[in-house]
Amino acid sequence: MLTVTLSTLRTRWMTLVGTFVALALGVALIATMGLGLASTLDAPEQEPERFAGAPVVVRGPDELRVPTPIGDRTQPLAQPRGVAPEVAKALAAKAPTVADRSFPVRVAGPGGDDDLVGHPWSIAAFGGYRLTAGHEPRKPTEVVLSGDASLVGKVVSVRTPAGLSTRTVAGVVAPARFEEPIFFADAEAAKLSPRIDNLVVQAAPEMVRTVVGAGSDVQVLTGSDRRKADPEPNRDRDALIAMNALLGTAGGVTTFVSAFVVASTFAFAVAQRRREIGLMRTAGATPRQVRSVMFMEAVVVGVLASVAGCVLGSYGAPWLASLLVDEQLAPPWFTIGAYTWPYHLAFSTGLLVALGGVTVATVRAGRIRPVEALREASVDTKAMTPGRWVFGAGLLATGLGMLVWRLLADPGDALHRKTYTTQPMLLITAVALLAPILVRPLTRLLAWLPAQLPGATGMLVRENAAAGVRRTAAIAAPVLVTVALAGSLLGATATINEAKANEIREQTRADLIVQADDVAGGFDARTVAQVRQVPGATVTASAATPVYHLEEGTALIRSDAQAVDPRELVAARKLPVQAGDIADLDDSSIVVNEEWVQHTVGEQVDVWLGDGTKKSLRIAAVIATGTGNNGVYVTPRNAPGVEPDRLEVTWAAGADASAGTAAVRAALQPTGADVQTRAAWIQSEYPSNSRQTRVGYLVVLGIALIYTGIALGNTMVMATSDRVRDLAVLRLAGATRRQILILVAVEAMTVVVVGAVLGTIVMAFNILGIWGSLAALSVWSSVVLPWQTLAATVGACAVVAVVASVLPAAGALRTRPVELAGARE
Amino acid sequence: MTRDAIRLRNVTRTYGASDGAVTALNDLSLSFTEGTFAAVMGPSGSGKSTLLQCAAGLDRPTSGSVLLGETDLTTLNETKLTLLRRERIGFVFQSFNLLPALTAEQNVALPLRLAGRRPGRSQVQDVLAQVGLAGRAKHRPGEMSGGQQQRVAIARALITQPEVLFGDEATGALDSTTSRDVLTMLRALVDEQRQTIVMVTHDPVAASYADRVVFLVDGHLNGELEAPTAEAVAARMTQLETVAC
Repeated sequence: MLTVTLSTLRTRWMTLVGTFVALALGVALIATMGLGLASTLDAPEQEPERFAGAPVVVRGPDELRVPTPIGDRTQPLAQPRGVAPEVAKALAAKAPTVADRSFPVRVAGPGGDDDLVGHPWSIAAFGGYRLTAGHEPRKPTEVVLSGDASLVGKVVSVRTPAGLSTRTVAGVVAPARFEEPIFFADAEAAKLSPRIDNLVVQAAPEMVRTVVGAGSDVQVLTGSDRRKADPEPNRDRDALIAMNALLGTAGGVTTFVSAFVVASTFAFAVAQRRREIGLMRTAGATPRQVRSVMFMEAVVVGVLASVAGCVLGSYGAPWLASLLVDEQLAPPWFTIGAYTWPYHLAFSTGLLVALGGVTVATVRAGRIRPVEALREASVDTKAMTPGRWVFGAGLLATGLGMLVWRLLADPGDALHRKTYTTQPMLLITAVALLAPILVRPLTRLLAWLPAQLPGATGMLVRENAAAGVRRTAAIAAPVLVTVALAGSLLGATATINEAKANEIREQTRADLIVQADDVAGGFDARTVAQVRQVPGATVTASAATPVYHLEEGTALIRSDAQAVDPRELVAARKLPVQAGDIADLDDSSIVVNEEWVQHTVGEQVDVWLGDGTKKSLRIAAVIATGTGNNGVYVTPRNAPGVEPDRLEVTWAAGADASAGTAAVRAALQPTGADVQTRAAWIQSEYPSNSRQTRVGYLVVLGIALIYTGIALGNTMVMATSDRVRDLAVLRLAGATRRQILILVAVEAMTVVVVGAVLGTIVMAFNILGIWGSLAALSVWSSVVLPWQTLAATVGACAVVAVVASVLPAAGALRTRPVELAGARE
Repeated sequence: MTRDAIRLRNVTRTYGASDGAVTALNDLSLSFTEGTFAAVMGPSGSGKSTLLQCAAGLDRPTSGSVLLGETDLTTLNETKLTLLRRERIGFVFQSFNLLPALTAEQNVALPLRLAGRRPGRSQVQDVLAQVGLAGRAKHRPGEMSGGQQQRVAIARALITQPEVLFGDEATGALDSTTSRDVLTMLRALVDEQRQTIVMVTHDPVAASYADRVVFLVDGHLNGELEAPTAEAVAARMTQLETVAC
């Protein structure tokens, strides 16, 4: 039996090379993604940086800790409380201490503004800062920056939470990896930012703990714990979390795509060999023997290709890692670790898919009677098998069912990336399985017009594509998956973004909007009062502050809330109120959105405010979830210590808007905040995906698309090699080389268009699902389809398909047609 | 007055490189008269298929010339040759060489369509009727018997009204009854429409339908028979095969 296997391996090399290529690349892709994913699971331990030279760091509470039945849940506090002055005083009495303060500072530089972090000078030494030129800040107006010596003596314009001022650069330090600092004299820093964020104590930790007291929520940090006081203590881990999500999505998409393509290539390879199977059967092979020959072959090809794929993957993964680092998606230190499970996974997936694809196909092949197999040459009379019907219909029902169920049960879920990346997969597979039914009418429809022309090309394209349903379906499959995935993913994000923009447009009523920048921190009472005095202006002052609540007793959820006077709120915004009345909002109540499990007007809900205070508030009103941006509202009293960071100005009827605008600008001039008109504000708030998300999508889709491109070319070469005899017969019937090459090219393009139409159908279902979910969330949005990307994708597919079919056809045309046509199979 | 439809002058065709070269046709000169039915016979390897392929412009002689009417096929490039074949020559193979995806009607219309002409509906119908397949226009090759497929192939060869119709073992794959029907049909084409037919065969019965049989041995002409009978042809063949061995 093995001899038979080996000899068929030799004779059908084109088909086998095709399946080998598809499988090896698929396995390589899975291995690469697996290795990348595995490497994101372990972050290297991050060492303390800013306090590396400090023995003990005392830090105020910076996280909210809520006990639940399954352990303490924590969330970082929006407003970390500093070290209480009395604690600082008590410690200073026992040992030498240095107070650290951190505050945002904006320095006007030659190339635009630089956002720096302000600290008192005394703390610099603990982070390893050394003066490289000049001297430490001695006067309140002196600062130290990181940079080169030429800065010393320069006068710079500096904005701090206390306002705008000019300072002289007294000295410079070498740059640090973890922050861009600006150091002030200690007393000046204390004036700019009174809160003590960290306190370095030069004493034994036990002594410090005794002074602080056991029950206190003040943290005493030693050893590697000191990194908690660093600017970004979880920087490396967070970088990997984002990478993990990206590679997880990429891994999911590529595994699906490669399994899909490999299975379809194997099924096609078997379909292509029906004649050969028929001959084996005529020669006396039992169905069982046919199956075992093909199975053995799949094992040989599967093992070899999977091994090759793993080897390729071991080269691909470091390449992926360096690509991700170059694109700044991964931190510079990111490398591929030595993991073995991705190889096991890739190898077994490859082999299983190969064997699965062959098994399904051979069951049918073995069942065929010898005569039937011989007769059924290249006209597929029955391309739909019961298996295709059952699985195709099943998947279609599941996919559509989930779409509808989600619409009814949890429309918000449809907007999550995990959902809209997996949703298309079900439908793609379903449509691919059912493709043979759709292919024939579709090709007839597409080729109807060209077939009316007197020439032969139109008619031949129509008849060949419709007769070779299996071939058409196999070539259309990679195009289908490409178009459907690219269209669904990009269309989903674009539609969701459009909905978000729509939501903002709908809700914004104010004529002018001023958003404070991070440095200014917020608008002080005097500034707000000045704006309020502008004639004809109704001012809505709101402050962003988070509200934490415990959901189902175990999950501590952070919601973005705004502290605002309810009477002012109504003037500036039109909120989608579902129940209750916003005007009822008072100091003992809260406005929540429907995303909260508890959203019944009148009920009490336990929340923790931005500074960690626990409160029980009554639900005054409930607003629709929307796209997820409809926050929560409380009154300013429930946002202690937070200044308003957004002012919205609405003009009274008949007010002089232009004079008013000028007055508002004048009042806000010292804060440096940008006064925007409604249109400009909506424009600036238009959701644009972050670079990371965009590049991430390009990586995910790019890799999947390149692979399907190769698979498409591969299938095309396989299919064309199978048609050499047809082409020879055409030449004998009088077709010139040119006519044949044109025919081959047009056929390739027709099949690509068939795939594109099927892909577009899948995409339409997915985007409609998103649109429906948005509608269910009371957000009306137009459907945004990524036509440009789709056109580019289809164009690329067409080029690949044409090249991959014309080249082998041109090669085949070099042989005299008589020999080819005469050749019996 | 009779004219020659096709003339071969000093045609030599060798295959392979200098050392192991095989000479399939050796300085062969031969002509076929318009409106007649000729059969080419000879033992295996005598060069009869090569003769046919060179005469039909499917293959190029190593030296010598092939004249179709006044056109020398050996001077034409590949595209011109294809166009000439499409317009002036019909060819029928032992394996019918129909396109499986096309119906009988579409297969027959193919050469016209390839020439960029829309075949008239009646034109295709007429040719199909001529080969006795009027009712089978919409069938695909897979749905027809061997004889029917060969008739479609003949209809396809005839649709361009070729000057010469070549057949390479055209009845070789058919049973004797079907074969007789096809041969009778070919004979009728010659008698009624003055179609020139040149057919390679190894079957003395098939050859007996021809006006003239030419015998080839080792790429040389080895005599001919006018108005042959099956018995005479068979006797001659037996003699040739014995000599060849």
